[in-house]
Amino acid sequence: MKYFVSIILISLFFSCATDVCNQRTAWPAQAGFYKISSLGKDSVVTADSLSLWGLNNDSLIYTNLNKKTIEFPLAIANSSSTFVFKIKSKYDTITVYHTNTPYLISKQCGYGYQQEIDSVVYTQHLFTKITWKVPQADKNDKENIQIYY
Amino acid sequence: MTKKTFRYIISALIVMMAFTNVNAQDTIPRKHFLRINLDLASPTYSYFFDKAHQRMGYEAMAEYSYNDTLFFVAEGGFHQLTDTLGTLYQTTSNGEFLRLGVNINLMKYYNKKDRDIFYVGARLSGAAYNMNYAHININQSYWGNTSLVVPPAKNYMGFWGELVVGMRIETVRNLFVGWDIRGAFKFYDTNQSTYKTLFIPGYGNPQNNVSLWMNYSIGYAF
Repeated sequence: MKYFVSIILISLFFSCATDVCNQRTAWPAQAGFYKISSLGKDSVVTADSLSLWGLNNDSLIYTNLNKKTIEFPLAIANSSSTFVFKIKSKYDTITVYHTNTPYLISKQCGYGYQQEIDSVVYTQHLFTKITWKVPQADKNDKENIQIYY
Repeated sequence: MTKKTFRYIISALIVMMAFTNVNAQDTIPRKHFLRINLDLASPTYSYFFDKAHQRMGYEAMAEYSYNDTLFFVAEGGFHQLTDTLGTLYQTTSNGEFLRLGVNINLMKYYNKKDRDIFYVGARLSGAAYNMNYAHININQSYWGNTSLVVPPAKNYMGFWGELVVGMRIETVRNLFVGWDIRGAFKFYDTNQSTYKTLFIPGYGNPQNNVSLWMNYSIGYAF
């Protein structure tokens, strides 16, 4: 019995720490595409042949995809992030100004950023209006920005 | 004369009855004693943890027996932990801690020289510690990684309570070995900044409100 109890206690002692991280360091912002109908109501639309990338970044986030909603990562080293949208050979840019606040995710994950949108500016070659309702880009899976075109 | 003799006899009988009663019930009060214990686990942490969690320290515990059941306890020591998570961060905490409380002995003694103890106890505890980060990096696959400008080292305090269960066995005269397992409950950590403490000496990780701790000790009773 003594040995049994000892083994359990020793096992407890060495099993307290687990080095598993399954969280992101920053959550991407989310946007949806909308169209204002003739009745004045918003309706979800699909952006055909959408390509999306960050300005001065060679890597594409989406390449020629049909999307109703998109996710795009806000930069963690800067307080603004500019994205280039290409839809049916037309280009627009959206610049998101945001606040980055570092925080400890966990001992296993290290630090990450909580990001909050402060303002959005955009070009209007294709887009007609942009609104944003949810400032926090986080794991709650809420749409931050509405893009009308 | 007869009356005087009768008084002496009665008095003698009463005294004898009193002594006889004491021997029969074995109520000689037990001597108070002081037991000093040294924790064997703290100095050996570095042998059990990898290089990412470099931990060392020492800890001593003093118990004073108020009676067979109640023991006053003071524990203190020094702990240090350097925690490294790859390139993401490296932080070091070190400092002293003090725990004050009582142990309640659950054993019944049939031999008055017996000083083994199986106990439950409670502690109020505090630590004064220094904490710093050597670096903090945050990875982001799309825009690239970034480094935080870390603050200079700073002194903080932490407070917590503990519930303890353990035992000590006298192996040779006056020499004891024992273990205890303790659940610690955080009350407050003065570090409320962005750069969190990951180790409070004597407690563990303050990001957890409950911490499990264990001691193996060797002790000497005076």
